[in-house]
Amino acid sequence: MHLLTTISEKIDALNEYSGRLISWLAGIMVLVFCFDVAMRYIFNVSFASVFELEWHFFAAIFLIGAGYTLKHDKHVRVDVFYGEMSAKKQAYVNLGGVLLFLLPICVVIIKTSLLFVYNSWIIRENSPDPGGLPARYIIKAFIPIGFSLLLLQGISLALKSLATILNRVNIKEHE
Amino acid sequence: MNEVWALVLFGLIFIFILWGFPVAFTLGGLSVIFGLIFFDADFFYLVALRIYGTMNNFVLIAVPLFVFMGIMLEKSGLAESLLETMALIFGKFKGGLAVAVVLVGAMLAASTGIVGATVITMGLISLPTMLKRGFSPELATGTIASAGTLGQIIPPSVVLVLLGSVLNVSVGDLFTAAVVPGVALVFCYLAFIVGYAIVKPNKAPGMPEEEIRAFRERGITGQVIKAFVLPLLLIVAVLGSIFAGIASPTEAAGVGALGATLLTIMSGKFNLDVLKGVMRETTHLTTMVFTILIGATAFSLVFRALGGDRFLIQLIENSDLSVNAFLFVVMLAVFVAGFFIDFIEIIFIIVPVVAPIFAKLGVDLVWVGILLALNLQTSFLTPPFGFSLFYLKGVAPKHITTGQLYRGIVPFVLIQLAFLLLVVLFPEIISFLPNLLKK
Amino acid sequence: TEEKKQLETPYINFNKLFEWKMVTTWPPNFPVVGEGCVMMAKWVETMSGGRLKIKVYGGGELVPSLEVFDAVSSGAVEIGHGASYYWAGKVPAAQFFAAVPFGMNAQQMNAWIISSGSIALWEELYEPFRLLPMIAGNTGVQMAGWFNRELNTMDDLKGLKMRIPGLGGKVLSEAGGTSVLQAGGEIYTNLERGVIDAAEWIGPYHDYLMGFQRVAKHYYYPGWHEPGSVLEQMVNKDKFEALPTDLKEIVRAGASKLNEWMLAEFDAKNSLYLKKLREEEGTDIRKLPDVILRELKKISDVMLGDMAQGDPIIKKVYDSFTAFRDQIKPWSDISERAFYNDVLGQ
Ligand code: NA
Ligand code: NA
Repeated sequence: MHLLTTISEKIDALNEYSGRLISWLAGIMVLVFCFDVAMRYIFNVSFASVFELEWHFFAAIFLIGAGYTLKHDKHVRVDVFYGEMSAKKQAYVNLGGVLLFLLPICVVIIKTSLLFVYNSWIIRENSPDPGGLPARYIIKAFIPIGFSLLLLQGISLALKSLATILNRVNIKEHE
Repeated sequence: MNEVWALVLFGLIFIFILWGFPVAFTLGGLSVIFGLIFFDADFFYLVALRIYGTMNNFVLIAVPLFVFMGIMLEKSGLAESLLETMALIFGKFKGGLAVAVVLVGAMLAASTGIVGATVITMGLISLPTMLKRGFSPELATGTIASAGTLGQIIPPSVVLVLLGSVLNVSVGDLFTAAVVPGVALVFCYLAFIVGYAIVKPNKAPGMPEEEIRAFRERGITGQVIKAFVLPLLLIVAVLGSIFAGIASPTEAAGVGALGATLLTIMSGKFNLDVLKGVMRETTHLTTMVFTILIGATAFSLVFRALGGDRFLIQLIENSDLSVNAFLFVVMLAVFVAGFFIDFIEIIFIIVPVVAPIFAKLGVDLVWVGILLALNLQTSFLTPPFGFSLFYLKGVAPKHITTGQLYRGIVPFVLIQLAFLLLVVLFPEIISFLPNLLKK
Repeated sequence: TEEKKQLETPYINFNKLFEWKMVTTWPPNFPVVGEGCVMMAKWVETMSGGRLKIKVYGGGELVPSLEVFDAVSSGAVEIGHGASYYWAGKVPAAQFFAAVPFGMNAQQMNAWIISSGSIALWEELYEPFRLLPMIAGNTGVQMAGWFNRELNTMDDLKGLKMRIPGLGGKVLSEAGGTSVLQAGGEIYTNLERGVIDAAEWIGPYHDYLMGFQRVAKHYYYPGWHEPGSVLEQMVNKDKFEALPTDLKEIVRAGASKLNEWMLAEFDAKNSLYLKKLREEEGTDIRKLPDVILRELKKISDVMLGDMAQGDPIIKKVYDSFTAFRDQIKPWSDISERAFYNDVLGQ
């Protein structure tokens, strides 16, 4: 039991750290956009690489942020019934949801996207536009990395839910 | 044969979404399980490609920027003071705050065409204020969710661009034709809110008497200037940079985000913790939106591969109908499809099939395009897969329930349908402005 | 002998049916190119007596437009349609098989690819991806684009902000302009409001549908950056190999028929819509000044030469391309050019 809690805490810490780190990109992205606008309007110059950097940041935010957002339970739920449930019932929903839905989609996406990244890496794929960013496989690699973080956070959620289900004291307090 | 399974998949998602596990993973997970049963694992390579397509979609990139702006405005307290001042000016006028929300929503709609961005921005800055002022959660959320969809009909609009390419008509024609119906729709929303406030004043209150008195005693002009000047500067920065050709609609969202930050600094509420908070909240909300889109992309891939789209198409193609009956069937199909799938999928599934038939029947395709756009707005609002509702749920206070959102949206969907009928009966609503411009 | 053996194969299983999916880089129903793919699927079905059915998906329907290459390469989808310059980040040399600035027109590209044996080069480039390329369409000479600024000298290109992607954009940048990348759906709005000063799209037909005549002052020709863009059909090799001999030939025939139809359709539609633009919309249609074309050509030659120097594979294709262009130019001069100038011009 103690081991499971430790694993869960380690995962939480990892996602908290990576989420906070990646959130800086949100602020930097705003600056990059304004830089792009200013350079074009004032100096009549425009960079393909800056344009691509903008969507690279955007993509990194929502991929790395997936696990972080799950940790904070900020993914939208339809709470018509869920909102009325006891903590134990909610734990069943979460445990079942992770096993039935979250794990399959993460595993499938990680597996297929690794191939996608590999295919890009063996040919050293670049931007199709002259002046664009090189090494497309780097941003593509954010897909398997992001979904791995999400998968880990799913495991952490499952462990926590399991603990809630098994912990009788907790349930009594809630009832 | 597989088509049946497409419907089963849909039915299961409908049920499991109510179970309460996050929407994004329920959508994606069930679809993956179905995909694994009916196709080989290679098939899911396409999911990776679709995710990558979402990552480099330069239109959607406006979402995190608008979200950043919205959260920053919320933290600065400027949005609240703007809305409250507007409401105080409206005074005892019932529903004044909701009127203000629709007007601001219409302005945002004219600057961008991204529903998720508008709904989240409006939800962040106006929902707490409306609730605090005693608006019913239903009216407050319904107003915000539907005002957020105005961006789809008021140009520039992503829906109209896509419709133009699929219907094979000029995007410029569609933009021009959409102006009058877009503005008229805003008035319909306003009329409903005012009427509702008269019938049920307790659900759409005006400002309390004593506050209005205090407000007047403090001197209206000074306060109005104080509350309006900074936010107006921001609106000028965002809209101005678009209309003056400084920034594209997407980039203007970035200008707005920086502008909101500067305003927060000027109002003395800025520090490193605020910035970190805004960036983290932006990460959460952006992720929330795009994880749903990834789940939805897995769903629509499997749904389509199972042949689920064929049902809709057969229904339409096999009907040998008069012009009016055909139009009715198409509109019904689009409306019903809007409950389940998002507008891009609908445009890609249904419109290519019906466009040649409409052309053959001699119907004006610009008119059809606007009717479709008005109809597609409802797909954001209709449960269970109303993306507008999901986005608003993501930013609403915890005590606002999905049920309240569902109830709140009903009158607005009805307005939308009534307005659609009006445009069918009076096509001049659409042809008026283009004809005027031609002369 | 392989061919002979196949022809002698006494037995083809006529009961075996094939159902293929085709993904394209074009929006669903996109005029000419999207429509053409749907027609190609019908031809193939008819020619094969219903034994090979192809369902066509527009960009974004099954996979995003720019992921067609990966989708077909992986084998998840059997066949695709696009243009090889979209894959410049993966196979830079393949751009020559779509369009390069100051390259060749449709007729010359057909001659180079089909009859000078360079299709083998193209197949070699795609081989590592298990893809089989086929020539399957051409836009004909495109237009130079829509401008809100008059172009008289090279100085007018200084600071010109234009939507023009790819190698054409690079040439413009080196001429002092700015190639601005943006979402396709925002081009109209950006041109209208002055975020960009100019934009190129395709030709009169497609440009008319985008409504650019309402937001731009001048419509310049010729499309020096895309003188005859070749469109490609790509087939997954493993899926292709799995077909019986006759169906293989039918797939090739479909591409070939599509190649013929698209150029004819582009020419017919573009001429009709050019008339509309001139007569109904009063569009100001102008030729780029010779001095600008001459300078752009110089820049472009240097750029393509540098590209070839930096990469042996590009060099191989570039050499074949330029050799053929040198070969065909004198003939084009006294045939096509003489016809346009002195026969059609009379
Ligand atoms: Na809009
Ligand atoms: Na819906």
